[in-house]
Amino acid sequence: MSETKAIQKEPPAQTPQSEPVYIPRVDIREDANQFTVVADLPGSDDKSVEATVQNGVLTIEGWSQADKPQGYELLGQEFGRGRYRRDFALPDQIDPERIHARVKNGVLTVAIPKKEEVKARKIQINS
Amino acid sequence: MLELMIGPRNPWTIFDELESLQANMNELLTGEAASRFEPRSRAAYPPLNVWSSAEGLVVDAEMPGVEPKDVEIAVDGDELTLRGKVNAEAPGAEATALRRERPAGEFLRTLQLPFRANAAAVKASFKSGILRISIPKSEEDKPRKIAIETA
Repeated sequence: MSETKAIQKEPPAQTPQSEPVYIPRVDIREDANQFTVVADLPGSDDKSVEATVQNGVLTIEGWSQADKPQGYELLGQEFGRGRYRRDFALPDQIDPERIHARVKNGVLTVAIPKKEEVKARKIQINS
Repeated sequence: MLELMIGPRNPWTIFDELESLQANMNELLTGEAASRFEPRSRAAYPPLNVWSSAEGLVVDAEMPGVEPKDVEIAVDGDELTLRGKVNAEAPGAEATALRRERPAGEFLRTLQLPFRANAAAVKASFKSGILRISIPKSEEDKPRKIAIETA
């Protein structure tokens, strides 16, 4: 289920420091109107993901709660669960007021629109 | 560490270390060395966490962004196969990719189980990009307690 979540301006509450912090993988795309940051935060949902913009920095945070099946012993582990965090310096030409984000299937998508005046405009040439 | 959203990417590659940590799960489960035809340098997709009990195995597969309809789970005898596609949709032609770190494409991963599975009783659920599969042992492969008769 797709959820729209408003960007929060306040830093999120601190999580325990003993938990491992993972750096999420991202794809970043740019088109004429916006930048799009897509981050893998497996195990996180709309309640455990935060996207924050402050002083020109976009911070992506998430939390994946360990979920050990009861009565079972761990045999092998190839991925960890815990906290995710990554910070990006935003370019100047973006409009911080119109940034929006959503989470689906453990993937956070942040849309960062460009300011109106920096969008490329086709100029009519009069003959 | 603060990164630039646009511009050249950082010279260090944070994911090399992560991938070298991936154990060969089949080797772990069966005690047999990996076949020489299996490349070990490339990390298998999806990464798995495996738990066991007398009843069977629970396997978690980390596959953010994968739609449940794009995964095929098959259990045949003592083999689990995961097949599907991840992030297969191409970004719009007018978009430029500034970073590409997330895996994309088709995947196929086979896990050798240490027992024959009760295929009819296998269950799977998907939550926030993590697929959980529970695989019970077949009745004949379950440990049996043998009653000792007193003479």
